[in-house]
Amino acid sequence: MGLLAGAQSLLTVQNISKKSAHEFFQKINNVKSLKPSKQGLLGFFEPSTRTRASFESAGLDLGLRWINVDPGELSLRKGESLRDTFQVFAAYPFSVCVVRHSMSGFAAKVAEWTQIPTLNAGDGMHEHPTQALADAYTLWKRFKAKKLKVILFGDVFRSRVARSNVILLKALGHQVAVHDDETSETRSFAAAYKLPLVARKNLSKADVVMALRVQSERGSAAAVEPLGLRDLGAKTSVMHPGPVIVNQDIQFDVLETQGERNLILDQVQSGYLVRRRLLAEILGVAQ
Amino acid sequence: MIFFSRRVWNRQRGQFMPATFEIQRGRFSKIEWAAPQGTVAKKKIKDFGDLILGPSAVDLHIHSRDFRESHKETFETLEAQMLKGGVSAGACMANTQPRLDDVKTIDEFLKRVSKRLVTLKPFAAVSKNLEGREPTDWDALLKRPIVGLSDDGKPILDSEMMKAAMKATKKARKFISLHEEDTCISKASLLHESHVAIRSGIEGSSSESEVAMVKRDLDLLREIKGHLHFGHMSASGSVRVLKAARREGLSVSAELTPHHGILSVEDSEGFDWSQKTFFKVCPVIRSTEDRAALWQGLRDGAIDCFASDHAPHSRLEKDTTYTLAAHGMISMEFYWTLYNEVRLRADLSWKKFFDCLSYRPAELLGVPVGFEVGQSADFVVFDPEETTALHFQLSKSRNSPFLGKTMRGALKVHYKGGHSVYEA
Repeated sequence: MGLLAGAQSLLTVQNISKKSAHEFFQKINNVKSLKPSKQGLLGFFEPSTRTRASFESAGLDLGLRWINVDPGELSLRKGESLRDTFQVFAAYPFSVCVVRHSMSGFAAKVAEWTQIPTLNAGDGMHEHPTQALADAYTLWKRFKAKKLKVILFGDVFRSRVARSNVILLKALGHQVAVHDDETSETRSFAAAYKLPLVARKNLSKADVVMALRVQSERGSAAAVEPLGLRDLGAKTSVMHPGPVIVNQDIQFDVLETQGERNLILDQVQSGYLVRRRLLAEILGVAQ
Repeated sequence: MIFFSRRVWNRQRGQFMPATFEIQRGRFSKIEWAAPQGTVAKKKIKDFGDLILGPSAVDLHIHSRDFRESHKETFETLEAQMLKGGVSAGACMANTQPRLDDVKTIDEFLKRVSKRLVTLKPFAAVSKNLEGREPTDWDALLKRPIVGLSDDGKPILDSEMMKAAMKATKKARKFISLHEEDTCISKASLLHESHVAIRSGIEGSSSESEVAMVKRDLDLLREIKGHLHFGHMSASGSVRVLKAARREGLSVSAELTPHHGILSVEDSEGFDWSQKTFFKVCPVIRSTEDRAALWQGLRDGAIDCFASDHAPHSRLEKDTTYTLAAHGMISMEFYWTLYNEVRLRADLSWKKFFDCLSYRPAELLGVPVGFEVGQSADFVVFDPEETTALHFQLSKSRNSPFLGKTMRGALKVHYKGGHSVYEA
């Protein structure tokens, strides 16, 4: 049994158990070789650097040939409904769809319309399940089953990464809190998920501070000073799902001096491995 | 034929009473507020026992569709639902395709709804294509047998146009039905600003978008006088200012839809993304606190009309992402049952129930209702104890979050002009 119990969609990190997540991470570590050549659909209707590249690369490595759905191309089909557009793809021999869109619930509709296993590469402010799995895997690799105190820092309100991480990290037994930047948005986010708020001076007590990007494309501006070295305790690790806006999300000195407590590049590596493993489960190949 | 029930609604007394009545040529010809007297042969009596007999409902807020949207609903399918739902008359909104924004289209509408078992009257649009920019020909339109003016579906943001339209409707002794939404605040009215919206990753819509507009229009009403009708109220703040306006003596009426009376935003989390669009209405369905305030508004009279905002949409408009989906849901087919559910949840007296269901909207629409000699014999036989499974069948659309749900109260027979037009 894999995380997905076969060729299924991953739309949310709800209902992922600690046990299945840990087994899933273990399988990523047991990498072997693979064979068949299949096709996958990549539909990124929002800019993406690492998510798209890691999916594309992992897929190619597994013998998957990708077809890109260009948003420009889609807009040429003027008057055609999204539903009609995606039902067309159902007729093609795709084994998997990977989609990202600014609208919440988009991946779920694609899965419904195409009836093809669909991986949600980000839907609006709603979820980013593969990133949360990558982050959880990063922590699991470093700390194994240790219960961690994780504090989210930055624009949680507009962050789909934050939403998926809150759900998944809690399911894995970690203690999740939110840095109180004193904005009503952050406070209502914490209330919506029943998370404790932590003052800036107490960030140093965290095992991990997960900084999130300022979502300028969703109308956000930096509310507070970036995360600096002075905020962190001697044992605090730092994460960021990327791309890091240096000196806006995190100060340069943190990235420079944190050494192995800087988990940001680990997250990138984990992102690749997690996505590769998910594709392998859908394609039914042993990695 | 002689009719009898131990529980016929007596408006004067404000209670159910035993009544025996006769109908001739479609009208009540004789009503005795008592059991049948001695000599009448039993077989001549249609005896409803303990079932409730009440006046048919009147619905001031219907989106009829038809015309270029006959794939969503036609006047025929709408009529069938009204008969089954226990609604004998209603007012239709102007956002048909084409819009009811000129005399020619209004006349076409009036022609299409004449000679039906139910009474339907239109609102004409306040502005051309409901765009809020160019006024329609109010003087000519208001001479037609219409209810009044409404841009429902869209607000009238231009206060100057609003004032002018109020003056025109007042002169014609008609009124404006309002869609109160400050679209600068409502952020496309996706989901009520709440923890649910945060968890769903959907931008929240604040109550202030409605309350601000209700306040503005009450200010204008103070200045211009006449009557204003507030459609589909959703927010506690609106109830508060309406209550104050009433106390002040302003002439206002206000609606509650079945969905704002039954659901709260928390319920949206019970729907996955494939069904969630059925929950999407404008104004949005708000918090349990707002719903409690709406119930209180019914009890204290701040809200005095039930109105469905029946809004059929096909799969094309609803089988899409939540963001893109059209607003609105259907409800007409189970009108009495849905409002009986509201009555029970709101702990509403039967008096308030019938006032909101029939008497007040009938007065505004200008159609008589009730058990009185000479009145058209339009009434409903209802069992408040029996439950109904809401399997919508008669509309051309299926957009309802209540699909398949069970609610309390079952409509047994609907009489219109003394004839049974629907029997369960």
